[in-house]
Amino acid sequence: MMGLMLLLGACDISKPRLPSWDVDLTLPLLNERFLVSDLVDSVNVVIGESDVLTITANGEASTPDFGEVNFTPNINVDELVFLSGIDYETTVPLLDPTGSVFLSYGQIEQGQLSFNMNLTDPNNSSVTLILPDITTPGGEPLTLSSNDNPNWQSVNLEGYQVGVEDSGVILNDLQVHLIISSDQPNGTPLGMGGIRINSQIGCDYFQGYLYNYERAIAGTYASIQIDYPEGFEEAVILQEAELYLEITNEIGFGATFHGMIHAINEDTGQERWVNVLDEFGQPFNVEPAELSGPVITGLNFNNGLAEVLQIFPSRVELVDGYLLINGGHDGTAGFVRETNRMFCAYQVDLPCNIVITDHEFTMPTPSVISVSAETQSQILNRLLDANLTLEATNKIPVGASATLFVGTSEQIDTSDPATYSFSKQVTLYSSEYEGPEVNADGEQILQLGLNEEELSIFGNPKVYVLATISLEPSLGAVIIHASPSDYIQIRGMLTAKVRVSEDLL
Amino acid sequence: MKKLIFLAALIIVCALLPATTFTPKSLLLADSYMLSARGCDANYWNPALLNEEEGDIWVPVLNLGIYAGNNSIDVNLYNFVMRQEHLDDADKQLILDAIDERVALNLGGQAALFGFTMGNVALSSSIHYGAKAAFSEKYLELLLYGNGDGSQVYEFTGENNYLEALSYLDLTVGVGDIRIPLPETIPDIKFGFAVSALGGIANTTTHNFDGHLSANLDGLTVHQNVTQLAGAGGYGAKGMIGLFSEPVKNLRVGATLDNILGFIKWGLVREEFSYHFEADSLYALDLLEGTEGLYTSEYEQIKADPFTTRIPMEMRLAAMFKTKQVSLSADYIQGFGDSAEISRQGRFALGAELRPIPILSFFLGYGSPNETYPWRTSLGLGLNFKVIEFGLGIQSIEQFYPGYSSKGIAVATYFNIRT
Repeated sequence: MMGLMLLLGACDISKPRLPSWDVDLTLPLLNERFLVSDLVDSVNVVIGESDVLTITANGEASTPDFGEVNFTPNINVDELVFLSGIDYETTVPLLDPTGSVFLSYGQIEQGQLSFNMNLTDPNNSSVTLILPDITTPGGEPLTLSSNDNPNWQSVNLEGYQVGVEDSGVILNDLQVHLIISSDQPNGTPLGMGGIRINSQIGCDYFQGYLYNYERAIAGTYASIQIDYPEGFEEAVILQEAELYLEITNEIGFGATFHGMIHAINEDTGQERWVNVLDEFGQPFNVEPAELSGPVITGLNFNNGLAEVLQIFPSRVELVDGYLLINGGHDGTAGFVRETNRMFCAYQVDLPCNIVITDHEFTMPTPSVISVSAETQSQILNRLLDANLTLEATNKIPVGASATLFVGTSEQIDTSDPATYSFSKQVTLYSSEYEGPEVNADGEQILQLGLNEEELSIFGNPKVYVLATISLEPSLGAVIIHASPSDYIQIRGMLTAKVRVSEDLL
Repeated sequence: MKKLIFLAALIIVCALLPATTFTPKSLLLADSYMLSARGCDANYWNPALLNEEEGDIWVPVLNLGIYAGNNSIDVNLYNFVMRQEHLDDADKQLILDAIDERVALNLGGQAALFGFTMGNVALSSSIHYGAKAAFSEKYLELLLYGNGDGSQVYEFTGENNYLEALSYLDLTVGVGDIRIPLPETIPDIKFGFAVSALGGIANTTTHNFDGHLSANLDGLTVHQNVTQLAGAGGYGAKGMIGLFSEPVKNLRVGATLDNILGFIKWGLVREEFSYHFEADSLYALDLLEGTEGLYTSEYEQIKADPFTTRIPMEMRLAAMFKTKQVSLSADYIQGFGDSAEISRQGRFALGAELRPIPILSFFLGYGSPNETYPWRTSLGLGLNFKVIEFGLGIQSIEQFYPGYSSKGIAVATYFNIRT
């Protein structure tokens, strides 16, 4: 034992210390399947028909309460002659001078009838004027009797009804029955009178026909909360778009729907409009309500819509909308109550049926990577290079090349190398791509390497990365589905050269 | 950390790899000792040499040998590494070139408790202790180079990764100088045998070791299974037979078969420690959501069934030319199994004892290598008086003399009283 100690003592043995050395470490980073369906947010991105990924926006609009059906018949009959002992019947026209309103039956909300019976001997004669087409709230015909007042008198027609409900017969004239009694010989003139309805008649319930009768539709706009990259609208050309209108009509009149879709890209300021018309360029018809309740009309519109939505709007709205009533209810008299309305729910769909062009677009803003002081130190002192290897399996017919511009300033101008430190490019080929970069199993390798100098950028507290993306041009229209078999599978590993030294251990 | 490094370095530098059965004096001749052993030593080397003329008494404590070593690293390499500021690829390769599959460490020793002879019978007792441990070169490769680009899959087995230790004491009775009746035309052949009762003190052995590491696009996969058996308090036995002859003057030959039916059965304390770790296809981003369910880590300690440590038989054949001034010997050692001390791969040992004057002996030895036993040289000095003899010696592993290139060292002292 002593010998051993002597030998050890005689040896020149260095003090233990650890030199530094570099090791290559490979760390599996991720194995993720990014399903197209993961993009679905059930708000602006949904799965449409045939599992097609669809950008969508929803809005609503409605007419205000229909209100009273008004018309002013301008009945001015001043020369009714009262002859003793001669009862007779006559009519007065009940017409809307504008030709818009043809009444079959109405419940009067407002209106006034004036009459005048000027008798020479009112004490010994009397005149009763009956208007059978106008009935009191109790259902009795409107009956007017002479009295000592020779002047014009008014009857408030509120609550009265005009016409026969559900008869379907247009009331073009009001019948007037005159019953005259007097102690004078028959035929003796007793005086004169008149009937006037020359103020507006308003019906809170109306049956009949309406022509060129407009009701404005106003509503909210629909937002599409998707941050499209700058220039995206030039990289992707929409092949189809669809507007679905669901109109709930409480009004018992058929109508045509008029309006425009207005799309606005609030980032670029672009605006586009398109009239909502059917394939023949005509307005869509809206089915009238039934007596039993509202009727829903579904309308599909796509004519020219894709061109409007090509600007990838952030806002879509229905503007200048109105209903135009021209007639009744499928050839019969229509009906409407003052409080009836028409509701319109609309949905704009942009199925991802697209043509991809060779156009580069830039993300709206750079991504910010915050680097802690400790991480900065580790990167500067230990990390010598790093290489990210990704094995991607792309089942989506969209490929892209991305160029990442990395800098320490938020103001990165991709055309000015002075504004960023370095750039890196990676390419992900589409499922349609055939080439040596993709193997028989559809796997492709993406490499992203950083040398020591490039890594030193991460010695800053904040690093900005701005991506420009150039989509792989498609040979024709491609449809992006969102079924379980539509995904990008990425397996990645990070290989880094790391300096090991005593203070690390 | 520095202390750990120093400790590891001390073990590595001051060591000697797998020793075989030895007594302190045998170290001086690099184990070419079968025909040189006398008295109590013959109880362990060749009981046929026990006789009335050459007896002795072991003096406890002063008969002591220890060894420590490794198969890979010497002081030069250690100094080289410690003096570098930075290890480049050439430096790393230099380190790895010094290693053959595994870094194996070994320590052990033997100390006499007592021993004496009465005629051709000897009774002796000694304590033996040894430990060896190894880890695969791949671990060091991982440490120095990392796991590279992920294309390599690392497999670790018990062949290169183990921890074993064994200590036991023996009580040995040997009888020698038994002449085998042979025709007169045939030179005398003497026979001897020894029987040892073994008392197991402690034992541990790596029962199972397998590991797997891969890190690539398929994820990080780590499997590690280790089962370590530990026992204390056991009993056992072994036997030894030996033959000796001097067919011509000054030329002696001998043969021994040791460890016959050798075993130690551990039963008093016996524990099985097992550790299992398994992580399959693990990715760093998975860890962001917590580690639950991503890996399995189980440690279990159970009372193991009684187990037996088999001691493989070992055969030795030796020849020695001996005059008054010089003894030259050659031994061939062949194991019939593998253990901490014994290998199936044969090896030679050559020894020389020079006696310029009767009281002074110089010892030289050379041991050839096998797969677990590195070559070595030995050097010793002894003094022989009428009643006592004593001496000391040293071995150098893979270096002709102890120095910066030695991968291990052993020292021994002996002190016997002649009877």
